[in-house]
Amino acid sequence: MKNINIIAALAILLFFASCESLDITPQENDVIQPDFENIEDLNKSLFGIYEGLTEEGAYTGFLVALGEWPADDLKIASENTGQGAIVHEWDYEQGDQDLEDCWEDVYNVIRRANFVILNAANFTGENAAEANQYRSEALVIRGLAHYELSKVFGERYNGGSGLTVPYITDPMDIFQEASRITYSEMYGNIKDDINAAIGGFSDDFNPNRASAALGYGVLARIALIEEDWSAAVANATNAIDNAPALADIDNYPLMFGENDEDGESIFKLALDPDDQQLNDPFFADGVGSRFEPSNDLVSLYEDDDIRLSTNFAMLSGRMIINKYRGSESNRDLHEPFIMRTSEMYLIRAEANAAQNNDGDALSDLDAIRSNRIAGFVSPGENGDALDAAVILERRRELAYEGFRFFDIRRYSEDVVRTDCTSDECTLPSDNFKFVYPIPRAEIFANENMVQNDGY
Amino acid sequence: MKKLLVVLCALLTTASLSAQRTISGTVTDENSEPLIGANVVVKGTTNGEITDLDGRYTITVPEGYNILTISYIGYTTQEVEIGTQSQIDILLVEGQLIGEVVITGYGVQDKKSITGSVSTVSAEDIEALPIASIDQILQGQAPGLNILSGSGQPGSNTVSVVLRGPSSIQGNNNPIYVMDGVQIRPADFAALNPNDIESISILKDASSTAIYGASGANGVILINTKSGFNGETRVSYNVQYGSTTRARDQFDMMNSTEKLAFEALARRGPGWNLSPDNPNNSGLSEEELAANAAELDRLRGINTNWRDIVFRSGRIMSHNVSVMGGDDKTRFYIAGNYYEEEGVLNGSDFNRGTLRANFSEQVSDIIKVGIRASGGFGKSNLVQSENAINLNNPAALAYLANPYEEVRDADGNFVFGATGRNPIEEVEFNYEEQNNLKLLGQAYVEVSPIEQLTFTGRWGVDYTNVSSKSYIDPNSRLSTTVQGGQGQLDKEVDNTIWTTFSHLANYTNVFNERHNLNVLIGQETRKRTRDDYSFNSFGLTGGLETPAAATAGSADNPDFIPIIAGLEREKVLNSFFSRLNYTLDDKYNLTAGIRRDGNSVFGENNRWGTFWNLGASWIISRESFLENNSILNYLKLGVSYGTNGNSEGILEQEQYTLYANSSYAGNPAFVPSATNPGNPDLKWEVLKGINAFVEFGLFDDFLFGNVAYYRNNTEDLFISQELPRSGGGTSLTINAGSMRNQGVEVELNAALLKGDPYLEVGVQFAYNQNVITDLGQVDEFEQGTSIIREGLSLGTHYIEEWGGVDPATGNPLYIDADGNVTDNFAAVEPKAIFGSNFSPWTGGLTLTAGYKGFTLNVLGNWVYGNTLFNNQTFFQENPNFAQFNLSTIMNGVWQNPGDVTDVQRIGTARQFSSKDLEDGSFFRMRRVTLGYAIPLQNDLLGVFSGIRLFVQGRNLFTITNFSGFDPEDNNNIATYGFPSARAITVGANVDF
Repeated sequence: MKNINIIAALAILLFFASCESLDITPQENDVIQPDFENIEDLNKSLFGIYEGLTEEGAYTGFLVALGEWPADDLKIASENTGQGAIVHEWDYEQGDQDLEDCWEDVYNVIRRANFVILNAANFTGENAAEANQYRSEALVIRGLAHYELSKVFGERYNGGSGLTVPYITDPMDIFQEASRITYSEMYGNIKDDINAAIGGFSDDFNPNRASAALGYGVLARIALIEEDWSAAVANATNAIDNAPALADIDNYPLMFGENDEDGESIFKLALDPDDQQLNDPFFADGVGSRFEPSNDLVSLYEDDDIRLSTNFAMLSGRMIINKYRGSESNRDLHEPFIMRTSEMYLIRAEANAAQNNDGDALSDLDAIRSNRIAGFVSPGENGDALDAAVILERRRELAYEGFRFFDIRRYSEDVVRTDCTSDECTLPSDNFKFVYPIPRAEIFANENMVQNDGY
Repeated sequence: MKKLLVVLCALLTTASLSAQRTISGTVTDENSEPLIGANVVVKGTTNGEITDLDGRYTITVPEGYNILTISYIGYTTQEVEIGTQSQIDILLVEGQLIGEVVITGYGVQDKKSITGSVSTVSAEDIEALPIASIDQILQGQAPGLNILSGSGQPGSNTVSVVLRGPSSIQGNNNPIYVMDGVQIRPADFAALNPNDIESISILKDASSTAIYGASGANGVILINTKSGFNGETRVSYNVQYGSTTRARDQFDMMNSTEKLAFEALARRGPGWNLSPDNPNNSGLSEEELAANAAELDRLRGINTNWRDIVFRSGRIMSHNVSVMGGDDKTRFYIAGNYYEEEGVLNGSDFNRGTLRANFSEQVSDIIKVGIRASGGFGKSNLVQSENAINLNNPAALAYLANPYEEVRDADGNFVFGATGRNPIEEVEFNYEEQNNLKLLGQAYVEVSPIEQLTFTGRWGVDYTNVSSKSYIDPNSRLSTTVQGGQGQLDKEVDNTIWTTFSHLANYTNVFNERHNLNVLIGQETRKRTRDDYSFNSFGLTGGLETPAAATAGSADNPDFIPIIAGLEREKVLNSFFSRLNYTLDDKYNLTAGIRRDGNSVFGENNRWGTFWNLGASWIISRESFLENNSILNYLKLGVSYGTNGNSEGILEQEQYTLYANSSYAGNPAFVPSATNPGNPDLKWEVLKGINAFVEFGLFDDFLFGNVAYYRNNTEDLFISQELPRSGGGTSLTINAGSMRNQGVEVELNAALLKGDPYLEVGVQFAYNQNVITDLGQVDEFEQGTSIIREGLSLGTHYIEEWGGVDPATGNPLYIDADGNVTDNFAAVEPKAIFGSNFSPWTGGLTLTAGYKGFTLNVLGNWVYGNTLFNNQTFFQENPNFAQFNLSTIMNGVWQNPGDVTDVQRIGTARQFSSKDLEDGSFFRMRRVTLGYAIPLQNDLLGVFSGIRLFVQGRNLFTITNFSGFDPEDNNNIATYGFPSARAITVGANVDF
């Protein structure tokens, strides 16, 4: 009996026992809590930023397509079952998914960059330099992403007073209802980011990651919009000094060929085999063209221009956009170019021409032309003819890389499609459709968001 | 600590000296028939026993108690003074119908002293029903409990259980289930044996469920299994056999002649291709035209009835053996069950075996130990794509396969018609099976150091292993649609373990013979772990149906690379609670309770929550002014208030900012989730409810009933909030919404005849009004085909209003917001005027009768006032789906100006509209059982002590206007679901 009473006592004692810990770390695929004290996890978070840039809303899709579909270098193909047709025909409105994806994916990149910037500050001692490099990359990408969003969703520049988009630096506050700021404020912020970053880069250049050259390049692009010609020249020069040399006539096609060679890339994304296919906006293997090259563009190339055979190809008797066809084994998967050295030459040429430094401008222009056109002999343009030649070269060189629509807007020209398969062939320069709407999902959830005119 | 032990031991030793007595006896009715399952309780304690099959009981009476209370439903409760007797036989008189002991949260209570609304279901209400799962067995058993099965697959988990209206929008609406004091997983009920159940209590009001705190908001269903008794061991065997058939038809599809004629109109299919009116046939010779005509004639003559091919009559079989008994110290109940049911769709079946052993031992005067354990194994064969708008779904093929197509051609080869599928080929080659293993076990110790105080420690586990396998034969037609085109084998294994550790202290005492006090203090820790993995493998070779058949896959044949997934999850709930029950003069009852819960799924900021309740009831008929009132013999009023929580539907990781693995340029990468940016402030949904009821008996309980009113407000509902995309997130679950359910439940029973013959009828109905009162950021949002809008009921359909067919043009017409009729669909806004799939009215009826050994039990239930979206009519009443078979309604398609019809012209777009909404009301005869107990003089052959034969029907008939196979659905949309089956069985109960 006594034993039993001891058992009873123990049973009562158990009464006071047990209570499990409520702190449980999830153990699941895709459920990870990074340790931001650990440089390896910071490194993985850094690569997460670049991964974000490969999303369809970013550089493998809409960031490129939204600069091309509404412009004049392509025409809608008969196989097109709707991809990009709304944008091509300037029918976009705030509910369009393509626009929402672009906005969402690029802001996602900014949040990822902000996590890295926030947590890189934790590192001192042996990992400090490494962390600083990551921070610099994140800062430049944050600048680039804000630059791209301002370009796509911002109003016209309008002397710096036009509204851009919200500038986001806090990754933790997901409820923030940020307001749009002006170009002057936005570009000021981007310049601060990039200037804070440039000293932190190591000397190793990797075109698949952000670099000092990319930072200078973004500053050069901004200066061009600001028409700050001396800054454009200075930053383009800095970019060129830190970037790979201009690709020559032999190397140029290799960049767009089977092996995706880096060539003169300042920044280009590396893709995995299952990533989004950059060629999707233009062409789908086994389906056919979504958009075909327009003769408006094709006719601008001289016969000996290497870009004629690089940018275009014949398939089943019809011309297709060939720039991103990828390799035989992985059709349509092509790594997107975000910045190439030739663009820096073109920016410098445009800025010099604007300042009437025609000699310097012609020299940069000829550098490009002689590396693209076999047996090129410079006509030695000057004045208005030189200005026109720079603009022409920019169109020929950067075709289908997302520049054209925004260049037309910057030059205050109309979109005029003479080789046109759509019902809509002209967009006058003052039309509100030159500015995309802010996506509805943002307007809905953000009280402080104002819509662009006309939507 | 040593000191404490010594003190405790001293205390215990003293306590064990106090004496207890054991009383036994028999409870019978006026005809000296034993009353089985009568409650015998030592008054002033929670110490109760239930009489066995011979009406015998044995009960331990603690020192200081001298009165036994004996109660049985339908009989007047008696109190007997014990005095010096050790054998007390009791004769109960019919009449008083309320007066039983019911299980409540963490205890039992005299039903009269309860302050909230609790419905009870006893063993005889559910015993031997040919239904596999406990949740489906509860259909129609309690007012306010609306259980809808979405599938006729026997043993299916596709069941919606809603008590007193839905209380959550994005969370879960299922009540919790507690078996023998241990919470079990609210699924896999098919792996449990319903015949093991002694009684079920359904705690409906917020005050009764508040003792379950953060888990109680959707109601609590308490299930107690059978125990042994003190007496001669009794062996019972129950067997039944029967068959299942389609429960109900409203199936009017075209025959071959009609379909071919329609095809000629629609200009597609053989009806058009062979038609002399087809311009392509204009150049044909006389012979060729004649051949076409002959072919058309041949097709007209085929008339395959696909419904009869897809459906079958199934077999149903059940065996149940139980052994129970014990002595004054030991009680045991051991039972085994085998159940088998073939579904009415070809290829569907279910079988189950279970074993249970319940055992308890009074080890010493103060210590009782026990175990309760059950093991069940269920195996189901499922049909392809069940409940999906999908041509692999045989229920869809019953409608959509053309009547002029055959199962096999003249050579015996399978024919794949316009649907590209053949339901018989499907069953022959492919299968989908699911195995459920469920082990429930608990051990408990009860220690009573002094007679008024009992400590209980209970350690329980619920282990469920669900393993599913899907096999698509490489030679089957379905194989052509899978990755790699060479068969597919999928497996998934899910292990879920719920453990519960609970410790209770219960103190009961009576002061001055009028103050009855019961205090409970408890602590409980629940932990759920889940471990799941699955793979999909491709490229099956070698005729094997195991993973060994799969091709490994490589970069060269990436289609064959298997897909592997899995997860491990864990969550913990820590709880402390206390409750006080106080009764004064057996008339005035008071309940107060409090519970504090900590839940690991929430962030540190909001992990702990406190829930409480307060209730009072008053038995007015015990007041002197109502005593011996000839009309009103019983009257009780109760009112209560309580708060509850709900956290089901929230994933373990929602508090965290989640990162996923990814890669960039071959480097591993972390990417933060935009769709789950993490909410560390997330907390419980909170239900605050009041409840009031009146319970009455009239004319000596000729008529007795209960009317309850409740109003439950749920607040802090989980709502998915849209985030500013510029912040990097898309949406986040937050606590924002609120909703109100209020309603009335009425239960009336009349004992029309008492004695032999006896006849009792009961009706119950419940009305629930559900209103969404707040949604936070927005006033409304769309969810599927319904709209969640403030001021409307959850589940409100949202769709364009149908306006008929324009007789002049044959165009479909719609009614716009201003009431104008238009054929411009794009200009018409959807409307929210077509009701909800949650029915406001529910109810049931019961009838029990007996005469000279014959018994009749009838149970029917109904839902009224709900609308269902019939997604099926979109296909079979659509002129543009002429490649598949169509409803005979389509014979009336508009053809010429002036045709007045509701079927639009061929070639016009068929839109979803209010035309596709149908009244979902129905009445269903759930159960009719006719039994006969063979009168045995003494024990027959010295072996049988009782034999009862019965025949019963399940889902005998259904009354409804709904046009699909089955109006009973667990959601708001009919998508070729597996219809419920009718079953008719014959069987016997034999007692040895």
